[in-house]
Amino acid sequence: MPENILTVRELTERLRANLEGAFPFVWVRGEVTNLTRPGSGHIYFSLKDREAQIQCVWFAQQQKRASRGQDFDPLTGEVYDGPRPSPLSVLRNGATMLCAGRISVYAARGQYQLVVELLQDEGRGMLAQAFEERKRKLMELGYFAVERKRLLPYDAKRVALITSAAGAAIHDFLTLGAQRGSGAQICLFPASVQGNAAAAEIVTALHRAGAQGWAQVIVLIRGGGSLEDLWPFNEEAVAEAVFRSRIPVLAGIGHEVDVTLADMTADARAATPSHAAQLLWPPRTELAQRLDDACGALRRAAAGRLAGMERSLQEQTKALRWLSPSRCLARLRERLERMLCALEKTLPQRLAGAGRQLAQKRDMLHARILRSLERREHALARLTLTVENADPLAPLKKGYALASAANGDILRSVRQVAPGQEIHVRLDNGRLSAIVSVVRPE
Amino acid sequence: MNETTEENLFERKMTRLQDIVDALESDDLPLEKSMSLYKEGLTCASFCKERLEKAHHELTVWQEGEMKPFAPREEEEPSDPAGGNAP
Repeated sequence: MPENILTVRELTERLRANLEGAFPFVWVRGEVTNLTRPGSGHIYFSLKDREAQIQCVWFAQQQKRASRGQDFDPLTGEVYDGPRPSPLSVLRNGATMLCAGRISVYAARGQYQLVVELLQDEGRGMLAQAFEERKRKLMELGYFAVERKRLLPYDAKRVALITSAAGAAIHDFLTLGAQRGSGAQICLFPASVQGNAAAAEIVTALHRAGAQGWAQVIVLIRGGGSLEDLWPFNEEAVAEAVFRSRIPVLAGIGHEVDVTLADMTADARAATPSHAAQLLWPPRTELAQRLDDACGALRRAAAGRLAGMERSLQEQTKALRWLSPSRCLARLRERLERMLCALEKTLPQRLAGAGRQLAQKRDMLHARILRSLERREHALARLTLTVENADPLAPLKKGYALASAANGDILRSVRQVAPGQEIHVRLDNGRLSAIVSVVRPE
Repeated sequence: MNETTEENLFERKMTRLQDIVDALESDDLPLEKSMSLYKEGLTCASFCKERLEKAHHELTVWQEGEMKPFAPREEEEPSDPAGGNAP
């Protein structure tokens, strides 16, 4: 055997000597992937970037220091104001971490690996950064615009399902869906939902479902996973196929916290595959309740209509009775009686009234006549007095005498007589005749 | 695909039932028409009830350009497969 031929162990030992000597302590930055935490307490993962990856192991005893939380930056020595979260809590697939340690060779597998001593969170992973960049771009293209979102059909009947034929997603979706809706046809367009081929297969399935045109809605679902697992749904081609789909797309990818670009582009987003079934179909109990309500309303409406008709019939019958000739006669008779009754009541009242008026007028007449008589009596008395005062015989009582000629003329002048003529003299209590002896005018 | 007559029957009958209720509540319909509508409503309701009792989703798979019967495998794969599949 030539001396330059080495055994595997020898080669490995030489590599170990070189490698471990060359990298006794090294800092390396990369994105965490393939993270496993077996029961031993040691943590295994890979760090990767676009071109390469390296296996890493973080032994349990090294983790103890980190689990207390870090109060200084192990790289720069900067002392923090307060302790930072433990790297253990931020270590997850997709996270970009800064690892310090030594390179060792694991002879049993012929692998070199980084034995981690210190670990530091480097913020969001590169995938996350790529996600943000794409998200910005697609947003500018209007992929997420609310106004282009279409409504999902209520109680969908024809559903194109795009997911893996086996797995939790289809199981959850169908299990929950079985309790909902009034019965639908679901056509599975199988596509890998993980790995390198996934994005292309999803795009093909979307195109097929769209071209076939049978479905009312396309449902794109996948179970939960790491950012890396869900990455196909962040591929631009998938988002574009969702964007261009003529059929509304409902996406339910990962868990509640996972939001992929396909989710954001879809017409509706479900938090999980089960939630997608909830958005697609109303619970069967709800449909049954709707049906019960409609049946109740039908019975009430029919009963109401019958009752209305019965009421109307009763009213018509009543109206008919009211209009019958015998009822008309009876009403007329009744009216007549009422009028007679009224008449009987009013006649004596009116007579009494007229009597009262008559008596009043009679009294008034009587009074007026009396007053008139009195006035005339007074006037008569005054006149009588006046006449009495004017009586030519009245002065005779006072001793005066009235002389008259033989022919009866009253003597007002001595020239009416001549001596010797007979004259008549009237005194108060008798008459006498005399002969004029002398006339003496004065 | 039979996308017109059969599949929307439940919803159409429900709509018809609602229309009948509305008509009975509002329109001044003759008695005979009301009764025939009521009977039609009952028929719709019993149809929908039967549909709901028997409702299930039919699952097919798109293969070689046509729909074929499909039953998902019962065994569940983990939804969060842990590592081991990186290139």
